Order: sequence, then structure tokens, then C-alpha cells
Amino acid sequence: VRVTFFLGGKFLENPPVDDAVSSVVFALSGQAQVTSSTSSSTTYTWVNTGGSMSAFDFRTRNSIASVQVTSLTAIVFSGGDLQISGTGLGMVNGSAQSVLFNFNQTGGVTRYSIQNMSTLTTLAAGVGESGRAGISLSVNP
Amino acid sequence: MFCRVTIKLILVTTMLLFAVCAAATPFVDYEPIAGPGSLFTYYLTVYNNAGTEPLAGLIVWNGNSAFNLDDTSDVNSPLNWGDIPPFPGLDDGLTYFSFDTSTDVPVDSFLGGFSFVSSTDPGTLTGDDFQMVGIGSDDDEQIPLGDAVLHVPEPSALFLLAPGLALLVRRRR
Repeated sequence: VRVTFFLGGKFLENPPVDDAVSSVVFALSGQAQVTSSTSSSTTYTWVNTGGSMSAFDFRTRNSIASVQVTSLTAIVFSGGDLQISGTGLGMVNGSAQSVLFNFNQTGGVTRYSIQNMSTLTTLAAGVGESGRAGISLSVNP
Repeated sequence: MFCRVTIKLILVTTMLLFAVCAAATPFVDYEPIAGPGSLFTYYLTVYNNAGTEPLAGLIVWNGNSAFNLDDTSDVNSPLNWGDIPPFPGLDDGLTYFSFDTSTDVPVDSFLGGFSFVSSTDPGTLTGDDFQMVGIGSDDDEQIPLGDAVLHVPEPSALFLLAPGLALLVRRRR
């Protein structure tokens, strides 16, 4: 199947306690396999990856750019929730680094985090601001 | 006669100077220039007048809906600043960000060098189309900056113009 995934927008650190801003754009389209399917969820694993991701977190001042995705798995739940995780290689503040990323949408709320794969240090993270962030995944045979 | 005209010009210039200085809150001004082709280039300058903290970011709030900006748009940032373009359908804003605190916009200072190319004719902008939001450097949170204002000549330029205008008036008489 061909799966197209978008995530983007403005995110806040921990609203309403901490509204520190980060911005993310991530787009990926490619072939994926259904690797698991139950009555409550379907899991897709990308067989060819690419895409592009850019992010900037004002709290950490981390700039993550030109991320080439090396693995990606998406779980689509029957209620519409999404759980997407993967790895990639990109430029973090100008230096090449491997990163882990997680995106999810639960009950209409979008969250993301990007971590250094070696140290698991959080490079950027946030909760989608209402009306200014979103996530979408479409599957075509 | 010459003295009277000069005094009037100085008064008008002083009033203009006070009007400009009265904008003692952070704001963004813009200067639209026609081109390239049928497009328009918008040059932005952020003034952190009497701000409560330095500015680390700037968002053109309606970047896609008002200016048709997306990831193919020509966007430029000042030195040591970057940008993330609008993502139609998910995020309407064009976000500029400072890579380091040393390049933030200090309180009572200003920074130019922001620009973008848009198909939107500046004459068609209405209401809050050009709404701007800053990002504070201390708490990293959003600071509403209101609508960007059309660029007006600097007071110093008006001061330089005043004697010339006075001479012109004198010669005509």
C-alpha cells in the first residue's frame, strides 16, 4: 500500500503550564506493508523511506533539519488515534545526528518528540496548539 | 516668511517624530516592493520597543491563508536566523527563529532582514491579514504583536528633508 503521512504546526511544551513554542514540519510518502492487523488496530511499516522533516524548539534552541527517515512504523487505531515512530539521520544544529521520533494523536490531541538516538536526550517536543497543528495519514492500495 | 515656514515645518516634523516614538510597544513594519514579475516582496523589520524580553522568534500568523506561502516560497531570514514555512491545512504560520540568544532582538532594538515573496497584492490586505506574533526569549512563549504596519520614512529622513522642503518653498515665493 502507499501511505502518506503529514505532521506539522506549532506545538507548546506543556500547556497550559508551559507554553514554550516549537515548530515542526514532516512529510513522508512511500510504500508500506501491513505488518499487523487486529480488530482494534493496523500496523504499517514503511519499506521505502525518504521524506523530509524540519523542527525548531525555542526552549532548547535545537534546530533539526534535512532528516532522512531510515525506518518508520505507524499504528492506526480503529477509533482514529495514531501512533507513529521511527528513526532518521539529520542535521541537528548543523551536525549530523541519528534521531528517534515519536508522533501521536490521541483523542484529537497531537504530540511529538524528537530525541538523540545515542543519548535519548530530548531535542524537541510539544503538544499541538489547537487549530495550529495537526497530523494526517492516508492509505491508498 | 522663510522663518515662519521653517518653524511650521519643524513643528510638523516634531509632531511626526513624537507620533512614531509613541509606538512604544513591540511591532513589525513592512515594506512591500513589486517584483519579481507579478509577485511582491515583503520586507519586514521587527522593533522590540519597550518589550518585556528579547525576541527569539517571529510568526507571520496567516502566512498561507493571506500570502499563499508554502514550502516552495522564497523566504529569507536575517543572519543566524532560520525559518519554517507554513504547512497548508496544518499550520498557517511562517515561523522565523533565532538560532542563538546572541542573535535575538534585544529590548529597545530592532532587526530587519526578514522577507518573503508572495502573490498577494499589498493593496488587497484587509483586517488582521498581516497579524504578527513574536516569541519571547525568556519564556519562549508567544507575544501578540498586532498587525504589521506599513513602513513610513524614519524621523531622521524627515529631518533631512525638512530644510530642502523649506528651501523649495522659499524659492517658489
